[in-house]
Amino acid sequence: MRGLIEKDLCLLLQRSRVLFVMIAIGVLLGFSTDGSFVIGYLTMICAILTVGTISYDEFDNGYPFLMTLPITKKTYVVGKYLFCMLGGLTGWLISIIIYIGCMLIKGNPVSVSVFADVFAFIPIMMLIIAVMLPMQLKFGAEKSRIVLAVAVGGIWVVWYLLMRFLPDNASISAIISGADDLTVMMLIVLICIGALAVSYPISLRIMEKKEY
Amino acid sequence: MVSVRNLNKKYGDFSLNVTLEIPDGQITGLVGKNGAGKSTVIKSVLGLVRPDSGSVTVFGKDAFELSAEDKQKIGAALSDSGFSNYLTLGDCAKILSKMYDNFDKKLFMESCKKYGLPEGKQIKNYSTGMKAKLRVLVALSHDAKLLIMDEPTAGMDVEARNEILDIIRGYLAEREDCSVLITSHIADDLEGLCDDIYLIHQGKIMLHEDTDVILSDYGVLKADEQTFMTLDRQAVLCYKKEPYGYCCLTDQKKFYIENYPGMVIENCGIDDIILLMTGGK
Repeated sequence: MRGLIEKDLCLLLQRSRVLFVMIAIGVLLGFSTDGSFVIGYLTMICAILTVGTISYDEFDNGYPFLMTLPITKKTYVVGKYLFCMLGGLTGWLISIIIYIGCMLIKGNPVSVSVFADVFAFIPIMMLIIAVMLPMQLKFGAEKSRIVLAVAVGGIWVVWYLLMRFLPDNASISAIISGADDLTVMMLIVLICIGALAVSYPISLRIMEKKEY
Repeated sequence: MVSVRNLNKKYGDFSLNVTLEIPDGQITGLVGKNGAGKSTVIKSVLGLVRPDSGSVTVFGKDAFELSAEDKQKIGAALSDSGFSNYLTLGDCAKILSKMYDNFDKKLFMESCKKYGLPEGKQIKNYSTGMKAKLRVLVALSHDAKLLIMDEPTAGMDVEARNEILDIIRGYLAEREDCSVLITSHIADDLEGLCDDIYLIHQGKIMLHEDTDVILSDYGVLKADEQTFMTLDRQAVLCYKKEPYGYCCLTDQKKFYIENYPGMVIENCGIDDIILLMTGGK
């Protein structure tokens, strides 16, 4: 596991320029916006970059050699989830530091209410990882982008049709808009934990069925 | 150490059906033309592909179910797969030191330096020979008890090939209990290295013989049409029509030397066996 994390870290650092540019954009966003947008931005970017290490693994037929190393397919999958979560959390922490730093430099008070929003980005980051990891493992870097776009489009169409044609859509909207922040937050967290709980065994099954 | 029994694997029209054995401390060569099935055998032994039927066991366990601890004892060098090209030698050493309990970083770095592999360059900037050397050095870096090498010398000039074979010989000289499965379509590479040879053709094992026996007992008979018609062909394994007559492969060279003094009889190499057994009748 430590070897896999080291490998992913080495590969991620190959994109250190991209990381620096993203952090620089984060700093600019921190200065130019008052909200917590920078936190969401950097957290998601870091999660996506760490998921992207899978494309390095598959590039140039790298998987066969990787699977001869002293790891199992299960270790590989667990390592990927762990690395992506750590990557996302690191991005989240860096973005909080940038956010607070920018607020202090600008002389603005750091609002405590912002921190409620700040924690909302963690389950969203988990959701992104839960969706993207099995897709990348199943379809590879190129195809998974297309599949993701089709899936998002499909979800939007289903949602639109539900809202348009269900007779009691007014009551659904009322429930959503009427719920308090804590309930919505708890719901999001539950959905994201559920997504991870479904995503991990799917990823494991994809890897276990794979041949090289 | 490795046992392959009735391994069956189908890819479209191609069908593999192989049985082979690698005892402890044995160096086994697998030779054959491109597309004969060598790499599929190697991948099956490494647990990278699942057989359709039959069994592949390594250290007494199903190759597809090998644990991380089992893999610590295997050194693998594949012809078309290695560390990501975006990593450097230094990165590889860091990763290997965290992967393998017996990885000797100092020795690995010294060996890499000895064979001219630059530490700071990305692997994508290495030449073909340098990449092949790195793959072999990685396989030999952690005191493996079983080496699996797929075409470690493919696409290289004579000097680089000899260097790689010397690296492998040097490793094996210090470890008598180490077993090796090595493939090549350049049979000369294997003659001086392997204890026994399997010849694979169109997914089937055509021949299994000790290398010493091949070199001492096998021969190529060059007979004109008339001699061929009267030739005792009991010990002729296969033959091929040539412009001068027939070229025959035998595993009893001495019998023909004694009984057909006028016939041209040449010593046989593994390349001759490949050519005759896969192209003759």
